[in-house]
Amino acid sequence: MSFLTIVFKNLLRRRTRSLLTIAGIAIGIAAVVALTSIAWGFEKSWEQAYRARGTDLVVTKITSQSPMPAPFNEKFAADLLKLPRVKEVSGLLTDLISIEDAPTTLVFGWALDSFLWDHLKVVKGRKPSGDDEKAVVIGTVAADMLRKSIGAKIHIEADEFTICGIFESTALVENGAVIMSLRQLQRVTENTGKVNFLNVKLEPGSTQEQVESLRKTIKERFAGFNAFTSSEVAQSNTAIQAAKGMSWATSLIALIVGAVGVTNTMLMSVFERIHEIGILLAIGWRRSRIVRMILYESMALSFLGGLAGVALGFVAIKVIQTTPMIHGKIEGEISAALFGLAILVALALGVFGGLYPAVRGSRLSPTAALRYE
Amino acid sequence: MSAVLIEVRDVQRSFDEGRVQALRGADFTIEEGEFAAIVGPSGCGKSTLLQLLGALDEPSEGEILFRGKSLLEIPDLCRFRAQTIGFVFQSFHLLPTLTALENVQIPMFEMPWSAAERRRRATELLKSVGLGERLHHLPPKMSGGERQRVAIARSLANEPQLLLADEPTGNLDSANAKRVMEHLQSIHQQRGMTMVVVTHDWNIANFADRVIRILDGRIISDNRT
Ligand SMILES: Nc1ncnc2c1ncn2[C@@H]1O[C@H](COP(=O)(O)OP(=O)(O)OP(=O)(O)O)[C@@H](O)[C@H]1O
Ligand SMILES: [Mg+2]
Repeated sequence: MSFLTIVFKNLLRRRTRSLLTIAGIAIGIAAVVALTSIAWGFEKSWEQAYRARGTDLVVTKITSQSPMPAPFNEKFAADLLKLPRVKEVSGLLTDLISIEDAPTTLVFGWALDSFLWDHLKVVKGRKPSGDDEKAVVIGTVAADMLRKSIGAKIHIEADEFTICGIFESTALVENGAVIMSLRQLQRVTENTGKVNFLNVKLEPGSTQEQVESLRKTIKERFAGFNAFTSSEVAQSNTAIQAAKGMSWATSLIALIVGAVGVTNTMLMSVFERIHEIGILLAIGWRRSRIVRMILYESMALSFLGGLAGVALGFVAIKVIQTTPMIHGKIEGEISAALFGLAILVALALGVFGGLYPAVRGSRLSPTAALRYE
Repeated sequence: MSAVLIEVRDVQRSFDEGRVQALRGADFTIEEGEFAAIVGPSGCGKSTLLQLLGALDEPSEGEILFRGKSLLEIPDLCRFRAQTIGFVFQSFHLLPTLTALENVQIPMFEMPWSAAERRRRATELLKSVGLGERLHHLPPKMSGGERQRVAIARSLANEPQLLLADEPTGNLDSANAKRVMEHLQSIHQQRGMTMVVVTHDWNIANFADRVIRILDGRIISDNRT
């Protein structure tokens, strides 16, 4: 017989209680998995968007806590072009606008001759032909959400546009977006002559160090501006930060509830077994072994809860992805790292939840515990 | 005379801030290889004394020495109990969810033995108390006599130097009581094991070669036969 046999036999004594505790942990872990996955997926899809655009650095004005950086004069692009190794600079305007009855939609204004258009695949129709044309292209997911097709009219702010094309992008966020010419979006949002992002493309074959040194130069030379690599943009995006913060906060609450459940179960189990613990101490088990027995029990519960929770969480992600709010915009990340994280969190929950009951159990006096019936 | 195993020096034990004087002064020695019985009426302090001898409890006054060393100086009493003392209790105190074989292995976790070694030793011990056919039975499905024999096998698990039994036959009928006592006696004879048995039954006390009588927390007589 191994030590673990004793642990598992103890858990099997109260099957219903063990199962309920496992279920409680599973729900907590599932919440953690689903929320973390969505938050990571959100971040990743932004990162992809910048990669797909062929952007090496993104320059914005430093703005405090606002979902979108503040607009600035588009002439600034010319200053950046003078820096070494910079091949192209493309200014763009990005805004979150609620369009008709669809949820808040990302709207991009891109100069029609910008390299940004290169990575889009127009699956139907064409891109706007000139700066004066009141026309937009929409992503495949946006088309679904807005229930619109080519030739349809679309109301954006106080204006009306015609959908002249439908596109597909390798970046999920863009598929849910509406794109028009920079001039048109400047006009609609009353930002004439302004952009809020500059996408910088370096000479082909530039190394990581060169990107890094250019970034430093920009930060030093232009006060109030910041330059980010693709992955940093995603990390510094306030909306993404908010999503991640929410996911952590909710996860934390779910975990605290789970830990309290484990503590409750293990305390009940210790109180039921006072007499047995007395026997174990009397025949010579060291107190540390009692601690270990109880901790292993709670960790076994939380490990099983963790496995069930990961499975449940992955199902939840699939379900969440089909909701209209999220569909096509975010792909929840299902990875080995997430699986490992969830199991580690579950085990930590078992340790935290079981610690107090374990110490309580180990501190019993053997004679008093033996007397206890 | 053989060596002294345990020396009880003027030991007193009181409970509830001195209101209950369970043991009012015990002073005696137990030699290696002895089989002693502690006899007395209910409530006279027999269990209290046995728990002190087995390092389960500490005296309020006085001290107990094991092979000349005070129990107070032993840093890890659990370990000491596991390696030197075997206990047998009146109500068996087996773990109900573990089989006979598993119950006997419980104390062995404190020894540097492999799982296979633990199993081999436990099987042998159960065979020696006549339970070779009952290895995988759970205690609730065994008779009182069988359970007590499992408990005896468990008490011998780590080859202790001292076996302490508190009313080992208290819950058994006379036939089973006799059988259990014969087992204890043969363990004493074959292994030369030092043994202290608490009882209020003179038939049981007669198995021992020394009888210590207690009344009201005091030793009133101590006779070797
Ligand atoms: N933990 C305790 N707290 C308070 N009083 C106790 C405690 N343990 C024992 N006593 C008291 O000490 C006295 C001796 O108890 P002990 O259990 O040693 O008696 P005993 O001789 O073993 O009796 P029995 O034959 O009934 O088992 C009793 O009066 C008992 O009530
Ligand atoms: Mg007693």
